[in-house]
Amino acid sequence: MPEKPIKWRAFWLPKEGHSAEEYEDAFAGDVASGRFALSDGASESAFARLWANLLVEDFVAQRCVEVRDWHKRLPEVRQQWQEQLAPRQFPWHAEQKFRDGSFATFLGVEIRSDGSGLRWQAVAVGDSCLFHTRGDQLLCAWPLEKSEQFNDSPHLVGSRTPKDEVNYNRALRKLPHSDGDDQLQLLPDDRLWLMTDALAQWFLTEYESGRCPWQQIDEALSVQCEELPSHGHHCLAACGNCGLVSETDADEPAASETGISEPAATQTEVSAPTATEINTPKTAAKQDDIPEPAATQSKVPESAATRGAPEVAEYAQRNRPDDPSDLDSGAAEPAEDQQRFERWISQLRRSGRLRNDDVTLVEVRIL
Amino acid sequence: MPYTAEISRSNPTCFLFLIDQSGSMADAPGDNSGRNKAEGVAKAVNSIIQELVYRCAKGEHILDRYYIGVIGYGDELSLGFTGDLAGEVLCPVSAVGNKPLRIENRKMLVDDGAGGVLEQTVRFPVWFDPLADGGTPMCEAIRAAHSVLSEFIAEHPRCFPPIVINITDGEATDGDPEPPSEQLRALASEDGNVLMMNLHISSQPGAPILFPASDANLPDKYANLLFRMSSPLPPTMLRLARSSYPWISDGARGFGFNADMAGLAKFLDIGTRVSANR
Repeated sequence: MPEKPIKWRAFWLPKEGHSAEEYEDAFAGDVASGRFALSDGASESAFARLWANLLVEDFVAQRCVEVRDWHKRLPEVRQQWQEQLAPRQFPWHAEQKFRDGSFATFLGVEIRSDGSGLRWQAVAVGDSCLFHTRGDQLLCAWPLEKSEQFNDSPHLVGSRTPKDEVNYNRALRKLPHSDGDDQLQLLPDDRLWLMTDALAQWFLTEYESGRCPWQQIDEALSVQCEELPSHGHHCLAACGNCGLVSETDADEPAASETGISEPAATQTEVSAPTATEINTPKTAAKQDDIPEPAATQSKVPESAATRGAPEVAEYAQRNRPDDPSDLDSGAAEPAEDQQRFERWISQLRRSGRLRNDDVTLVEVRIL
Repeated sequence: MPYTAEISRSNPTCFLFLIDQSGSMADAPGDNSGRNKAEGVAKAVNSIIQELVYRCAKGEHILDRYYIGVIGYGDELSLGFTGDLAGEVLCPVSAVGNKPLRIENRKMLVDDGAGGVLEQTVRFPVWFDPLADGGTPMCEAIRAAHSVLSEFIAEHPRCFPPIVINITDGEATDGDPEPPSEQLRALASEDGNVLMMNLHISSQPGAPILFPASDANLPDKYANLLFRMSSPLPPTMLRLARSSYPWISDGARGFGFNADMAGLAKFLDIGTRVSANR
């Protein structure tokens, strides 16, 4: 499969006052399949992070299942959830939560080429949102279009909810619409933004006030790199084109194997077609509710994927202050990038413009 | 705006139960349940605590988003839980969840995940056994609650205001509980005044009443007294309460008459809610 001219990066931050262990969003992306997914685990349910992770991983990995048929994968994902949890001896409260199931929103998008270029299609349950921007224009806000549409009880996918119920109770939204002539074409420099609810609501509120929230994100996060004649672009922090991506993290353990103890930024850059096809999705926030790493190891991307494709830089573990490898990895920028994100989110929260909740942002840019 | 403080491990709140254990609780209640009132009280306390613990359970762990405490009043005041939790009046919810007095196995029908039901043995934790002995020193219990919560608020000045849940048949034997309850409700964190809820377990027959906004249909003077002692639900709780009890009107108070109050645990915002999706 030819590489798509896409780069993407992601940021995440738990709710203020909460630790990284309590972060229950999940995201995944795979440039090769052009698939990106986001899920917001409902904190009231248990094992929501596991469920959210399984949902996003399955979506980016199962590229042979059409996006519009995503719900048909649910029995399989539910089975994975069941298999990971069922053998365990739970205390009484976890047993009850297990009976009730886990719940999460879901947003999945696929970018594919047809004869005329790139197009995107998406599927969603709940209030995790996708925004398509081109320059200073917002072309599409979906599935929610207005800031007032957010509430306490978004539609959720349950790990025990029958798939037909998800499909037919109008919780499941799809783009393009079945009757649709939706303009979902992607041009170079277009961007798709995937956000969980708090940030998405902020985004729409800003937009409704006549501002360009994606430009605010750029200002908050971007680094003005030395402009390169061959690219001449205002690049994102540590993008490959500015030579800031190092290959030294090949021996870093995958985030999932150690558990993420600090908020992290993940950036993936595929600057050229590579001989090693990346078959494993990059996922962050791999640590689920089960402390034993064994419970997730079978599902996690191997660090070999990073090794085999040095163009792909995983920063998920880089930002730990106690990680000495940070010092000489040559990748201080991503940590700065994440710090910038954290500072910006903190400011927004303090100003009262951003509801305090887990925040996840995935930005996909067409090159 | 008051009652908007986040309930989290870094800023926990607390629930304090005041439990009537007086001799009059050995009488039959008005709900034809076949249990005496003390058994009704124990069931109410256990189910509310279970729901409170459940709301803080994450995976196999329990996050200490609040403390739970009990003050029993009967023959004498008994401060705190018994068993492994004995000692402090207020215990972190993780300790409460992990150390019930005992866990009982009960049969119940559960969803089999494929559209059917199957009978399963389900574990029910018990923290509190029925007790009925002596007088009803409700005033003394409320004053003790005042002292416990003053200390809690001093330690957690920004907390979501503590919630007191008084479960009684209403017949205080040590004076008028209204003045001390006013003092208790006057206690405040930066986020608002202490909330007092009263669950009236009565011998009077009549349909259960939950979160009424007026005392118009209450069956007796004890119910009226307890209604007056009950805090109106603040708007933030009212909004959440309506997802479980859509009929609740503005001005509803934290009062129940022979009713199941376990839903109370869902009135607090501690994360994305799943009730609408179950």
